[in-house]
Amino acid sequence: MDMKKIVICTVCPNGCEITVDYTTREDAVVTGYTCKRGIPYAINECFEPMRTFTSSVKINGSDRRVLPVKTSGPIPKARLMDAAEALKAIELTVPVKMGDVIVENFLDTGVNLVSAMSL
Amino acid sequence: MKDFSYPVVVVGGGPAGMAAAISAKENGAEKVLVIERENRLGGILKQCIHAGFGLQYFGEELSGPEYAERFAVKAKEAGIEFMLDTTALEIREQTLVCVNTTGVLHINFGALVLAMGCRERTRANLVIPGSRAAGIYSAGTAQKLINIYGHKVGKEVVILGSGDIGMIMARRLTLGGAKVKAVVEIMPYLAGLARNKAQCLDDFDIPLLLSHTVVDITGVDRVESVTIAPVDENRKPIMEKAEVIDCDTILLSVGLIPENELTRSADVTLSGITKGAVVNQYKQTDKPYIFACGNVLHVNDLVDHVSHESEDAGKYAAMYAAGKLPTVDQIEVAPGEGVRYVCPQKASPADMPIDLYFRTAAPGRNTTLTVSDDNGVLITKKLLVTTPGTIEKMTIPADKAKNISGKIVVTAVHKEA
Repeated sequence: MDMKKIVICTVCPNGCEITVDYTTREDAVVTGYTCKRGIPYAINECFEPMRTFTSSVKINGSDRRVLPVKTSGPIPKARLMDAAEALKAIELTVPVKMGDVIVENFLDTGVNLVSAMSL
Repeated sequence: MKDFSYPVVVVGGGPAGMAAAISAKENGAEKVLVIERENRLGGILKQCIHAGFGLQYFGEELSGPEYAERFAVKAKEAGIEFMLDTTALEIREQTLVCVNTTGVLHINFGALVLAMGCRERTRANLVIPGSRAAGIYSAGTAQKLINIYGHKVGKEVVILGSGDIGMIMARRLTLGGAKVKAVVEIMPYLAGLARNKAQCLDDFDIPLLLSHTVVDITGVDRVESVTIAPVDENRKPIMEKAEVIDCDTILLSVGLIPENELTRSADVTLSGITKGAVVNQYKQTDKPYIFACGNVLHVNDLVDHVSHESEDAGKYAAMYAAGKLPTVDQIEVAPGEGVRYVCPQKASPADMPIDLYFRTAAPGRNTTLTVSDDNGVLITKKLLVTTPGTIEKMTIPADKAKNISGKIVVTAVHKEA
């Protein structure tokens, strides 16, 4: 194994420290996990880490000036800054419902940008 | 002046208050009223727009506003009554005095559930030296300004304290285009959760400086720089190694304190360690008609715990209001070796499980957690890693809970530091 990475698992709040020894995705050896959900998470962290993106966009018509939004699933970690940049162009007006799709297939990631609150 | 009467009244419409109210209704309270000083339910979750909530309670990852909205919808469906924009002023025996735009209200209750949450510790609590320039915020204030009002708070930021809100704001500011130059923590270990260091600091290469503190802040109108220094084992700064970091903004993420001004008006006994009420396993204070839950009781790491704990408080408050809560002798529940505090601080033998929530005193590995009473060990649990930033929960099963006697002590012994 050429590579070794220690990953703090974020699947649940326990925050297990998981060690991955690997050369390729297929031969990765994962140790230190306490539940099996940590295995795919840790391997993914070595190759293509994914994150749920949360932020806010401008909203008109509420005492709240910005509406919380999130991606409906995780997106590549490398796209987080692009995602933040893309929100600057968005401006909405009430009413908005929690779960409403704001942008479909957000940045071609295959997941949607959705409202995280009803206003 | 208006008079009202409810079997159960809840102060605070955040996650704790909503969970307690729903549970009180489900457990027989005919009418339940929630008093909320803001214009919307949800409490602090309204500004916690990051994800990571609900992994335990709902089995899925939600943002704060989503977690709050699920409870708000459920509470409305359950027929809970709400008074928004209403501030609770004082508890006079079994009457809660409130005020809103209609005037002063006297609300009589059978049982009262305190769910007012907590406040941030401020610069004044820490006595941080340096100038009083603009640009110094508590992390939660910055969070509200950014996530609710859409303001920018600064361009170059240093965060003092490695609490969860500080780390979450480090990521938020970075994604908003600011440069977070360092997170500075006086202790040799992280104050918040490991997952937040991973997702919020490591993901963006934000340096975490453990065993460091702020020794000076400069700037006349606006912050211009902060001086940090490493600390020795007595937490005294080593001034020869001090270093200046240019910045226009400082966030303080240095701890939370339960907000118990209202509780004091009822002369409820508070714990010197948690700064919340002293309670038994029913979340009942030493004024038997007053219950407490959520961050006003002790500062939690996860809202999921708050919801479970608050459901208990609501349930037992409803039982008390109906005259069905057993009153029996209480024994002490105390932190032993390696444990900072345990909540509840008292327990009665009862034919039902007793949940104990506690924090360890220092981080360690291969930790054995033990709960004992005068007859010996009741339960044990082994964990690979424990940190003071994480709340541990252990449950004394019903068959053992009915025979507890003497004093209950919780210990945490690390095999490795």
